[in-house]
Amino acid sequence: MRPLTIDELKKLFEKLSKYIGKNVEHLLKNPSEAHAFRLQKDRVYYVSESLIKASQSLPSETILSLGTCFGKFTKSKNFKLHITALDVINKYALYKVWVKPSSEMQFLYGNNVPKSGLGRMTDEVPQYGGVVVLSMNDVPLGFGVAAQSTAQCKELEPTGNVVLHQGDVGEYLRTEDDIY
Amino acid sequence: MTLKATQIAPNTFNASKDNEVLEDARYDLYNLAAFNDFAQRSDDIGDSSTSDTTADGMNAALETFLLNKATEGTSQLIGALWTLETKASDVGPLALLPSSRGDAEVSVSNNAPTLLPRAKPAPKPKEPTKWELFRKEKGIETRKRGRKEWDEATGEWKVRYGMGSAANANGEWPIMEAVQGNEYADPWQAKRDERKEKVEKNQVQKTRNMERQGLVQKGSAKKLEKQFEENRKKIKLTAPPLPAGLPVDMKSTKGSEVKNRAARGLESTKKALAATRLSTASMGKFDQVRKGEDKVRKKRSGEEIRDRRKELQSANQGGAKGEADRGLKVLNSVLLGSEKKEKMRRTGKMHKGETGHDFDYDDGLGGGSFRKKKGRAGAGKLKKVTKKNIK
Repeated sequence: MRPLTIDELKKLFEKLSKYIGKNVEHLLKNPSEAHAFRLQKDRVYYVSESLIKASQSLPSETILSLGTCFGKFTKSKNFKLHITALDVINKYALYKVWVKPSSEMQFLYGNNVPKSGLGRMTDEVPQYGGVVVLSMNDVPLGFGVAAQSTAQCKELEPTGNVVLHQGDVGEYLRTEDDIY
Repeated sequence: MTLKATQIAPNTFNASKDNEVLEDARYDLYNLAAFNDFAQRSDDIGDSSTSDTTADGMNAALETFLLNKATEGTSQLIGALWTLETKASDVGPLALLPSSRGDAEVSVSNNAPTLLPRAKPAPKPKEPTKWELFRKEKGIETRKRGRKEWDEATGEWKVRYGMGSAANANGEWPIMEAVQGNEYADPWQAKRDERKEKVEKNQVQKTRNMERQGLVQKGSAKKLEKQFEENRKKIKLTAPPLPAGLPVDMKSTKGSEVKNRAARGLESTKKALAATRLSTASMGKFDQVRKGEDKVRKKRSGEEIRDRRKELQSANQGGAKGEADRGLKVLNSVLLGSEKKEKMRRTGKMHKGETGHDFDYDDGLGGGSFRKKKGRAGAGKLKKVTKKNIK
């Protein structure tokens, strides 16, 4: 378990800023307690200082996971965001998309959101911007990438994709081994 | 000496012939033409019996008149052709037309071949080439040489140039000397390259001569030269580099610049050392490491060898606060980077090569040196540069 190098931090922030933008500094300078990012076996964890101090007495091979797992670095050193980061992202999200109940299940199975399933969308979403997907009751379902900007989405045909699936809550059941 | 009318135009004024009074025609038998230069009288057009004065009627009368005149002219021409000298052939007698420009005698009087003006301007006299000028100056005479030449080495008559010539014989004898600059270069390839260069040089000289004569646009010789240069560079790029570890002659560094001193071999020596350290049965893992040397680390493809101790040291500095500050710095650079990109995208500056979709952008790096094929084949098929496809 070690802190991230500058290159790794860059990649992490690039990914996060797509969803949260400038609010990443809230992550770094947490108002309640100081948190930090730690790397354990290619996985990035968002851990509080007290927890870090506590874990330092444990042998690192025995630690499976700690704090919140944000994602992992792939073999080609790209950062992949995991669904376990949803709560944090939802708190600071810039762009949100509300999905109708009819295509909720589709999204939870891992499919993209078509225009027919689109309920509401924040204005001025850039194309390929990170988006949090919520149900009409404001329950976070997952996150994705906007296939088109908001203006383009209005002119899309009903079968066109609005949100490209990146992570959904259903993964807790489907790939529970892999997320933590 | 008075000229009689009957002498000038015998047919017209010789009423002693049959009732037909044909106007004398002027013949140009070389061009197979007969010309009637006489002015026509309007009284002759149209019969006195016809009283049809309408436009159509007058036109019809005119048509018949002209047809008659043409018939007369044609019969006169054929009559004139019969007066020419004939030659027997299997299709019958052939009339020998007078040769051009009126040099031979024409059998019918009043004839001269009509001189037609030039359709296109006369060609400029050819400008002598550089060699021609030199030749004239020095008074060198050219001798016509035979096609074959006696080759002493093989003891047979060989063609002067091209396939089967003595100079073209590649691979028949072993080449004892190495290539001048590079010991490890292929001497046969070097010979081929030399010959190619000569051919290219000759082509450039030819185009230069043609330029001087105005047959080809000015500046095409230079373009040709440049194209050949580019082709040569392409081949150089794809040539496999010397593997590290091979002994290379060290260049002299007396009075040389800093960059040349690098050729002294520090880098290549290091590389050679690293390569040799791996060349044991266990890839250098259990070799005794000298003081000051680092352990042998086999580099996985795509991975950089990191100094993890140093990284950890710098990462652990300053405690939690220090970490947060460092994180903020990185975040700022990331946000700024993306903001700059956004701004450029908005103002339209992005499309000049920044995005991957701008295929025409030239970033000055000269294109990657990735070639799909190895060796000289990687340069691709070098199209033969001819006069027509000089770009």
